[in-house]
Amino acid sequence: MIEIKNAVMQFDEKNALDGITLSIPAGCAYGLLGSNGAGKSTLLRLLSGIYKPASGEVLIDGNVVFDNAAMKERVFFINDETAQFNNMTLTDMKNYFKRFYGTFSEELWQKLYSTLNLPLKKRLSTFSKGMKRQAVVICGIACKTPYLFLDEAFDGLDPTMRIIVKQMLIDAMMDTGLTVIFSSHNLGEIDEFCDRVGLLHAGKVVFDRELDSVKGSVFKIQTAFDAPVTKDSFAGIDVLHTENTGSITHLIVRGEREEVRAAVEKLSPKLYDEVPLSLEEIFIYEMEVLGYDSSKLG
Amino acid sequence: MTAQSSVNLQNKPFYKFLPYFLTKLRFLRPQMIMTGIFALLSYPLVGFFVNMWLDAGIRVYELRASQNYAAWEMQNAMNAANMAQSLATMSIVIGLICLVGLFVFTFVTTLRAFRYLYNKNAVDMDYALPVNHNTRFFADLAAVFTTSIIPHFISVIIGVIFTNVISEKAKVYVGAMNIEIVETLTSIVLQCMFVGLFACFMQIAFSLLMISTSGRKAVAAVFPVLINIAIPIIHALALFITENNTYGSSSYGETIFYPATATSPVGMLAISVLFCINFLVGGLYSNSSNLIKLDSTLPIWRVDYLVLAILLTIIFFVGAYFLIKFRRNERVGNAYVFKGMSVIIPGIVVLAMSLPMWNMVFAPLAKSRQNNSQNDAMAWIMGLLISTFIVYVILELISGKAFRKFHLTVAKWAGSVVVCAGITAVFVFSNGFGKAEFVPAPDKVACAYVYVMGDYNKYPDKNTSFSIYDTTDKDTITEIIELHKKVPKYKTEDASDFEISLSYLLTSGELVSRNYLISHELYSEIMTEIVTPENWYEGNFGSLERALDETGAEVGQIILGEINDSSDPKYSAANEVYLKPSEFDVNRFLEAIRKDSEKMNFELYWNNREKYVCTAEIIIRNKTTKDKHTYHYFVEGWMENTIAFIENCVTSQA
Repeated sequence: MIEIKNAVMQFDEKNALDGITLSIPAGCAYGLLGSNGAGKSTLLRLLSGIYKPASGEVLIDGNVVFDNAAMKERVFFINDETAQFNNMTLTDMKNYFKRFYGTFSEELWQKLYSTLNLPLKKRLSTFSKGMKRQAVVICGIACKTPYLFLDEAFDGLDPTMRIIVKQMLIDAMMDTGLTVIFSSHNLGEIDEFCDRVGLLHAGKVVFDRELDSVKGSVFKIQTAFDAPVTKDSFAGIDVLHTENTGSITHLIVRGEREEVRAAVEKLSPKLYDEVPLSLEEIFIYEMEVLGYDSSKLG
Repeated sequence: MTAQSSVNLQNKPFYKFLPYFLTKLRFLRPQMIMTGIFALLSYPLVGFFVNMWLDAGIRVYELRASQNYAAWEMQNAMNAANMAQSLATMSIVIGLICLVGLFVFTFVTTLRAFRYLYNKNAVDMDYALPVNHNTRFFADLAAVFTTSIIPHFISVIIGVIFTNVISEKAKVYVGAMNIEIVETLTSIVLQCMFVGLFACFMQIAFSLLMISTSGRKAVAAVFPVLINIAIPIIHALALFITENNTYGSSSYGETIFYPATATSPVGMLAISVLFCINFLVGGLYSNSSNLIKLDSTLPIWRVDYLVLAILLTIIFFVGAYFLIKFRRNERVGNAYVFKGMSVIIPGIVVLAMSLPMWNMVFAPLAKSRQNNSQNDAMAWIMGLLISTFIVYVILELISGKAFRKFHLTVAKWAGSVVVCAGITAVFVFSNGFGKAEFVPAPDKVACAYVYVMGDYNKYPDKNTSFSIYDTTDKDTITEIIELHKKVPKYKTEDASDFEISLSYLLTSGELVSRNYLISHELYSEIMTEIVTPENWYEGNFGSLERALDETGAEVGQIILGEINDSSDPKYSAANEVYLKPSEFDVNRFLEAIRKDSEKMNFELYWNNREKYVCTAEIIIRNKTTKDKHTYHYFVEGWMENTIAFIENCVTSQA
């Protein structure tokens, strides 16, 4: 169980995390979404005990992580850079983690390694970005820590390798009850992999919910009216976005489906059709509400 | 999926110490190899080749001594000795370079071992591992010691063995006369080896403290080096400026800089090198009885400096421990992880540069230096502003500043220059922080010297100067100290043509020298006190008496001579009279002088300048040391007993 209580992190007096409170149950696959600079990587570093919060608390299984070696042995963090391992070979890297993580499974590592095509004796500096990722991920899984945090973990992996790595993580979760938090800008992956998501923006949590709940609560309505309508016509409905295409009005709304339908039907629409949204679409519309709007470019 | 239950995990102090230490050691393998190479090519290499050279030299020496050798045999031995000498010279040059290499690599190793202090990726790598601060800090430190200090230490031990072997052989080679020189040299070499080791030890602590404030590689690599150089410069300049602007201060030697040996690794090495050069050039072959009896103990091994250096090393380590513990990892990537450092560190560099220049501006204004000209002040200020500004801007560039707010850089530089001016002013106008008033306690003085003098041009026919030279006699030292207390320690209106110089060699090894202008009244009072029969006799004949007492001393020849017109024509017969020891009993000569000296007082002394009747030149040889000294005396008209003795000798010889 991960608990973050009012955590604040400052970079040069600017709050990278601004009083974040989150609770992530054990055994969960948690997807961390957010714009660039939202604080995802900072949050993962807080959880890994690399950073200490300026205020607030970060607890895993009830323990403070920062400077707590015994707690850190239960956490494995894969950051978005792998340059620090450049001087190591894959064997060196395996032995490196084996020395520090008492739970490291040589057998599991061999099993994971056998599915990849990585040279054992070459320095990681000669590896491609994707190969480095694979190397770190198999080490992370083989450490068999109860918590695994991945920052942009699938970045650089080809589609086949993404499937393999994803399957490795799923197997580990099934086998050991591993709690995985991973941040990614590839929302399709989070959509496929996670059962809970949190959206960060400007150091604050926008939402933190079960994925199904997120997807159920934000949806698209295609509707048509006799008379022209504006966003103001839908008072009482949380409309994130409106768009008119000819006589068809597209609404992105947040809320309970029944309540939204009842509210719209009061306006006597000629057409009412609900369309499910992908996580990526939800992300874009939610961010638009927060002023993080791609249309500004146009 | 199974949920993890809550567990209580205690933070053990040195959890995973060994794995972390071994990992870091493996990481530092390149540095360890380099350090090992430097260590091998330093003392062991030099020791080996110098030993070989000595063996070859001894072989030549033995052949010569035997006087029974074939020409080819001697030629071969000479060739071998020449070759060994070239090799030894080469090894000394390489050895010195490698010693510098050892010192530099100690810093490089520290920098690399603690790279998570300035490298973002390394922060993630090291701080994500299941180790805590204690494990990380002490294991990294242990890895640095293992990599840097252990090879160095082994090299020193080999060096100590070689030095002792070489020393024993050299004693045979150089003969009995120079055994003391060999022993002194051996002692200095051994001390230097351990100074190098200690300097590297302190270097680790100092570098670590500096690196722990840095957040970027360029800053971590450059600034510790700059500050390491700046600190001994600041320390030495502060000592110099303070001493130089203390009223009455004079004749300070390089000993005033010695405290700088204890405050930084570079200072420790620089002062040790300065000491060795000074000692070897000025002291080793000198047997003159200077007030400064050169001690062959390197400054850093003096108890007070050693304690200070150890204390500072501990403070550096403890400081680094806490700075690293409380630093914010998220600030790695900024030039400094502690904000104040962006002002303090460049400020230290500016201080090292501006101290001498501000001193040139302020010193003429100091009370103790009223005669100095202030004409150069503007030039010094201009030079100071331009040079410090250029350096400051370069330091800001190293810190990664893009000068988007250049006015802030200018403001910081201006602030630093003003603060440095204030600091310099404190040293200049402090009047030695009370040192001007300092008069040592008699029990703290090992040796004292006083010299009182008047203006020769104003009193051409008077004996104005008198000295008590290098006295170790406790009563005389107390007497000198009492005189010192009488002298005003500030510039007085009536101080004019008379001066008094006082020097003390303290039991701590420190030299205190003072020179004051004094009034005629005080001059007369002091002269009345110090011109006594005992002081006059000791000052003139004490050294002859001691030379006669030495083992193996014998009187060589006595030459009596009339020198100038002021000599009494009655004794012209004594002009260039050569006497044998059998004709001139030096002990009886001294007895006569001692009897005459009972009349000595200030008035007699003052009025008898160059009124001598003849000169006496006594040559003393030492059969053991083969030393020869000539003692030259004026026999003055009032010395009736001495004149009678000389007349008697001349008459007997005739």
